[in-house]
Amino acid sequence: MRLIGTVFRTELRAALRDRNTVVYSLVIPLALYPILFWGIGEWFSFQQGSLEKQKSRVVIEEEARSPLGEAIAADERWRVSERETDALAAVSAGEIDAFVRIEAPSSDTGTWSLHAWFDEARDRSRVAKTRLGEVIEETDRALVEDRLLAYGETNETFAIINMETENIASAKEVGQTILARVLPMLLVFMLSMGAMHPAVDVLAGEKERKTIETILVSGAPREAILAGKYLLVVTAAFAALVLNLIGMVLAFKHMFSMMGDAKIQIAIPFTSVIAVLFAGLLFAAFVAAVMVLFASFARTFKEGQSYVTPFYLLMMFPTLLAVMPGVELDLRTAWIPITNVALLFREVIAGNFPWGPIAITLGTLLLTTAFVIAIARRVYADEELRLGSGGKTLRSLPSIIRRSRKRSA
Amino acid sequence: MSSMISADTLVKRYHDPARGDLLAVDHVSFECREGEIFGLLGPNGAGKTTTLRMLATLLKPTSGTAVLNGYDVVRESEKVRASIGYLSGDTGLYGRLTPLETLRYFARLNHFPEGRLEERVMSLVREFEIERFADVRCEKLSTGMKQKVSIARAVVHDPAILIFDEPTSGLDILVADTLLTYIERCRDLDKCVVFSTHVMSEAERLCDRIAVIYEGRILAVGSLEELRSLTGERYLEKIFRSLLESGSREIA
Repeated sequence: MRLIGTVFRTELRAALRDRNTVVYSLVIPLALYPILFWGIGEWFSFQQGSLEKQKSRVVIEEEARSPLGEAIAADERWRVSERETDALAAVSAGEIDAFVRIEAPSSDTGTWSLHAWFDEARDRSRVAKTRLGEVIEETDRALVEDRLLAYGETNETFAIINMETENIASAKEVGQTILARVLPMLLVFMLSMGAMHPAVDVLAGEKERKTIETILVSGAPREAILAGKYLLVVTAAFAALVLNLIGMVLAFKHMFSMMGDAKIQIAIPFTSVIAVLFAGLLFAAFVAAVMVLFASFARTFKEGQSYVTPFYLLMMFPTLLAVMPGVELDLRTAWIPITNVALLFREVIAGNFPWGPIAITLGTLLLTTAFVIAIARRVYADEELRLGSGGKTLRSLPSIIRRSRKRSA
Repeated sequence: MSSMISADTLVKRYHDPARGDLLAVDHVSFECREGEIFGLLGPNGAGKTTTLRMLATLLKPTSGTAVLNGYDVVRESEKVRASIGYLSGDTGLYGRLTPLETLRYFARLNHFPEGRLEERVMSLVREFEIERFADVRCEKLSTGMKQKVSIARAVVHDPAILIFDEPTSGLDILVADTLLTYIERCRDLDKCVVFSTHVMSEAERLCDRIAVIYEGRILAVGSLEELRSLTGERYLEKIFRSLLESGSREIA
């Protein structure tokens, strides 16, 4: 155990001095994503603010003077332009945001007909459409009220259903649901990304830098060396998870506070955080074991990257399955590797603790990790692969597993 | 003087997908005693490195065995490694560690007592004149500086046996001389040194006994005088050539 600690501490020190490891495992999760989200939030609100400040340019064609035309002219958010010769072309060219044609009211019902043209490919025109809807609704209500008053009635007389809705979920719960939708996928990817570089560096990179023989001729047992290196990868993966969790929550918090939505409070309860960290640690152990296994076959850093990247990409499918609508952590999905972890993250962040499926998920995670570690040990025991000599590649993996099965039999 | 290394009919066979089965080491046997510098002399690809790698437990013999400091290379490989210091062209340094960190790390990996560790490390730093760059990361050191750190790394745990595989290759004359002088001093310290080279002058200067190895086989073992009388040649280059020619005829 002492030697495992010695290898681990030294590898950790070396890793923290490696710019790439620091960037991928620390800087990106802790700084880049919050900055990115903060930047997006700032840009979004800036854009939204500028659009809100801008007046919508409209050309109105009326057969007769209409209450709607008057309402638009009186609204500060609009600027009524002079009649264009080709108003539709002006909308299309972005010179105006809307063209509204109002026909004279029908003689029997007194109903006004209106036709409006927008270019929804442009932000300003979309804003104009929303504003026109608001003006129509307001004007329509005022006109109906006037007519009802003329008959000595009010709106209430004709109200059949009066609906009032109320959200019983607290702002915190809404926030948790939002985080539960977004965070699991990001956490799975970022944890894996955090493991990728150190795994390749301590195994393939060591062969490339010719330090593998240096450490293998030391008096330390080979398993202690492998265990020390593996612990470093687990630590890097787990650190990436923790830092991402902090970074993302802070970024979302900032983003929603900028949007000024008081109905959403971004926070994760303490018990959920503990559950995410515990499951995350086991998941880090699994991902690190797979990365170490694949990287053990590589002789160079480049080769190592080409071995672990497909695994990283393959992880996307089961992770995406977890974010599909209707998919939940239950007694069936709990058996699907990686999907189950993403679903577990989702459930516990949302504050749900389905203990049966959670137990199955953690159990499968432990078993698969133990299985992958056992294979990684076999691979590291292979003289050629350990030293990076000979012609064995990742394709030799099935034969190594077969041989180890025979040996254990 | 007691025997520190006893190699007994060591064989190493490889399977190369392109070339088929290759016999890299063919029934190699020799002994090496404490206070002795034993040279493995042979051309490139003769099997020197593979033999030394088997002694260092980096490779497992296909058959045969070797006992170092009383420990079997297969059954007691960890104890063997703790008894040896190994240096070759393939034993690089951790670029992100400083020489001091490197020496402390390898002392601990080799179970050197913690209480004496700092004293030992500092004495090596002085001995190999590492003080000036002891806190500079190894990746920033010159080849000569790196080699000094590598030697110190190999001997930091004060092993009874030292295995040097072509340690001077690629070094300038001054650094190579520092290393050769250190190897000579190891004999005075009663260390058992196995030294592989294809540089005749190095073998002539250092080795008490020389084994000439070719195509995985040892063609002859003995002191320079013994090899002279065996071949009838005076200079080691001539002795070497004569042994290789007779060896080639035998193999053919």
